[in-house]
Amino acid sequence: MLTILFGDAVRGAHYISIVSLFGCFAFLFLVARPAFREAGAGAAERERFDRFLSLLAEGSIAATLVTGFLWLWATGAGMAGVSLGAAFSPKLFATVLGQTDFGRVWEIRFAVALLLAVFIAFRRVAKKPSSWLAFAIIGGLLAALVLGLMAFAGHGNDDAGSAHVKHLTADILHLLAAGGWLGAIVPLVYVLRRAHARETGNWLAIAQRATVRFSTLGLVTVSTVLLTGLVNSWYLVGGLPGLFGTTYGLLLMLKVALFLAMVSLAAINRLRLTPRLARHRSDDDEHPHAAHHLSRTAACEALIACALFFVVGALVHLKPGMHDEPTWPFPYTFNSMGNMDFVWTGTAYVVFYGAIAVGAVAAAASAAALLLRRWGIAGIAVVAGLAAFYIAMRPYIVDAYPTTYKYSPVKYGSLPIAQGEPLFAQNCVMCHGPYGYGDGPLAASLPIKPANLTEEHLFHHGEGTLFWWISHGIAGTPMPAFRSVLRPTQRWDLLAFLRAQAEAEQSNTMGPAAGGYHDVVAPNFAFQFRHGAQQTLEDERGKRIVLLVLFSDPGSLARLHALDDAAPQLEKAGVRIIAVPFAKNPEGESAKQIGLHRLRIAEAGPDVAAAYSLYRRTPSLEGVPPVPPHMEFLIDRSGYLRFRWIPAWGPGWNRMAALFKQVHLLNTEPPRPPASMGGMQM
Amino acid sequence: MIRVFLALALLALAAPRADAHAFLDHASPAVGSTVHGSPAQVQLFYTQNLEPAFSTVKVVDANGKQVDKGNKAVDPKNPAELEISLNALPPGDYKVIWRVLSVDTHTTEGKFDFTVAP
Repeated sequence: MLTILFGDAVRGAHYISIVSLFGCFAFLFLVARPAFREAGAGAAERERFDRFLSLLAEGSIAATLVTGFLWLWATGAGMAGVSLGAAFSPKLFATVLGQTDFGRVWEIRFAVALLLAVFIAFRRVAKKPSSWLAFAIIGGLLAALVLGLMAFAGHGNDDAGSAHVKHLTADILHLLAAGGWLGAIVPLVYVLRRAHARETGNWLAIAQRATVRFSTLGLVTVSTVLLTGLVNSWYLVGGLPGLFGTTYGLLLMLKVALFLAMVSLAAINRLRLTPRLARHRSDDDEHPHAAHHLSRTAACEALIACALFFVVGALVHLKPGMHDEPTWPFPYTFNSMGNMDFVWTGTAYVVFYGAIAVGAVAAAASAAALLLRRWGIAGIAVVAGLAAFYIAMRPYIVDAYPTTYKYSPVKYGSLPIAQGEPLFAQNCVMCHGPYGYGDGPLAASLPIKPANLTEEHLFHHGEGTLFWWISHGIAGTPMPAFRSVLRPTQRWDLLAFLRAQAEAEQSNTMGPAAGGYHDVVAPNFAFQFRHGAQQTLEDERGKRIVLLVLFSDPGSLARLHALDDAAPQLEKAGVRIIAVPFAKNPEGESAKQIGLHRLRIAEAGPDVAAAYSLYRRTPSLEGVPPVPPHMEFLIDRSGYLRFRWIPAWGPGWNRMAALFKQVHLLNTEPPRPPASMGGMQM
Repeated sequence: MIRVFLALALLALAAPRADAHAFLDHASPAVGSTVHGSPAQVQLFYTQNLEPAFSTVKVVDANGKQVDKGNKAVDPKNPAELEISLNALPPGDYKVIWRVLSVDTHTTEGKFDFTVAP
C-alpha cells in the first residue's frame, strides 16, 4: 500500500514538474516574446522576467530529474512485487532499465532531461544569456520530448495496430496541450503580479498583451485537451460500467470535475477579467483590480491543476475501466435488448414516440432560449427534455446488480458445460424441469411459474445478471439463492451449461443441409492424438473447417471407413476431421486396429461427448431424444456449429456429396465475426 | 427506426470485451483439462505482450513439490507467450501458478490445474 501511494505521489509530482518546465518555454515563445515586444518593454523588464523564468525552469528541471528517478524506483518495486527498501538495488534498476519497455522509455526521457538540464545550466553560467527565441525553441523541443514520450510508458502503449497509433497520438497531444496550458499559468501569474504591484516600468501594458495572448493559447489547448481526452477515454474507460463501476472510472470522473473547475475559472478570466484588464490605462488612478483578480483566479487554476496531476498519477497506475471488472453501483441500467417484462402495447408506442417528439422540441427550445439568454425558459425546457428522455428510455431500463457487468472467469467449453450438467440436475431440475423448459415436478405448485431456461432471451440478461440471480435468488419469486450451496466457479460452470442448453434448443432444427444461420457457438475442447501434444478446437479458428465425429464402436465402423477413404479430399477442401469416441475404448483400441489408414482417433475427455450430446435436440414435442450412437457436426472457421447429422434421421452425409456441398457452402460464404467464448482466466 | 437507433446508441454505452492487459487467454495443457501422457512443457498464452524479466511461472504436483525445470521463458517469436519445460510427470493432478508483468507495467497473477492420465 505504501509503495502504491508513494508511486502515485511521485508520478503526480513528476507530471507537475515536467508540465511546469514545458510551460516555461511555451509561455516564453507564444506569450512573453510577442507581449514584451508589442508593449515596447525596456531592458529592465526583460531582464527581470528572464531572471524569474530561468529560476522557474531550473527548479522545474531539477524536480523533473529527482521525481523521474523516484518514479523509476517506485515502478521497480511494483514490478518485482517487493518493498521500496528491497527495490533500491542496482541489480533491480539494471533489470528494469535494460529489460523492460518502461525502462527503455525511461532511459531516453532521462537522457533528454539531462541534456535539457545542461542547456539550462549553461545559460546561467554564460555571462551573456542567449536570446529568448533560441532559449524557447531549443528548450521547448527538448521539454516536449520529455513530456510527450511519457505516452509510451502509459496505457497508450498497450493496444494493437491502428488503435495503438491513434491512442498514442491522442495521448501525446493530450500531454503537450495540457503542458502548454497549465504550465504557462505560473509565468502569467508572475507578469500579472508585477502589473498589480504597479512596479516601475511598463508591466501593465505587458500584462494586458500577455493576457490576451494567453487567452488564445488557452482556448486552443483546452479544446485539444478535451478532444484528445475523449479519444483516450474511448480506449480506456469501457462505457458506463467502466465509468461508474471501477476505481479508474471514479477517479477519472474526479479528474474531469477538477478539469471543469479549471475551465470555469479560465472562462471567468477570459470573459470578464481579461476585457476589464484591457480597459485599464497606466495613468488610471484606480488600482488595477483586474490584474489582481486575474492573478488570483489563475493561481487557483494552478493549484487545482496540481491536485489533478496527483489524480493522474494514480490513474496511470490503475487498471483502466475497460480492463477491470466493474461493480455496478446502481439498481438500474440500460439494456439495448430492452426490458423483457415491458409490453409494447399500442399506448406504449404512442407514449414512446410522443416522448421522443417532446424531447426533440424541448432540446430545440432550450438551445433557442440559451441563445436568447432567457435562462428561466431554458431551465424549464431542459427539465422537460430530461423528463421526456426518461419516459422514452423506460422500456430500456432494467434491474441491475453489482455483478451485472461481470464476465465469467470460465472460458466457454465442454469442460465447464459437463461440470455444470450434474449441478443442474441436482439443483435446478425440480423446478425448471429436466430439459430446462420450466416444467419440473414442483413447477405446478409454485405461485410464479419457473422460467423456461431454453428461451432465446435468457442470455440477453447478460451472464453477470444471471450469475447474481443464481447466487442471490430473485426477489418476489420462488427462485432461491445458491451462494451457500455452490461455489462461485460452480455457478459459472452452471451458467456455461445453461448457455449450451439454451443454444442447443435454438438449434433444434439444425440439419445436415438445412439452410439458415444458427448463432450456436461450438464449445471449445482439448484433445490429443496418440499421447501427442494437446490441441484444442480453438486452434482451428480462422484456419480450417472442423468435422467433429462422435462415434460408437462397432456401430460406426462403416462410417469411419467411409470418412477414412474421403479424408484426402476433405483435407483438400480445408476440413479437419476430429473423431472422438462416445465411450473410451476399453483397450485403447487404436485406429490401426480398426483398420483405418488416414483417419486418426482423437483422445478426449468424456466432457466432449457429454457437452456435444446436448446438441441432439429436435423440434419434436416429445421432449429430448436419447443420445444417439453417432453424431457429426460441421464447425465453421469462426467457431460456430453450423450443420449436424444424426444417421437415425436419414442418409444425410452417408452420401459424401451432401457433406461436400455443405463444406463448399462454408468455404464460399463471407467470414463472420468470431464466436465469443468469454472467460478471463485469472 | 428510432427504436433501432436508440438500441444502437445504448449498445455503445455497454462495455466492450476486455482484450488488452495480460490476462491468460488460454494454455496448453488447457485449463482444467486431462492430458494423456506427460506433457513436455506448459505454454501460457496471454492477451498482451509480457516483460520477460518479471514474468514467472511454476508447476507443482499435488504435494506442492516443484516439477518444472525452472527454465521459464517468453517466446521470442510471440512475446505474449510464456513457457516452461516439465520433468516427466507421473499420472496425477498438477497446479500451474503464474505471475506476469505486461508491457504497460501492470502485474496479474493466477493459477489453474491440469491432470495427467496414463
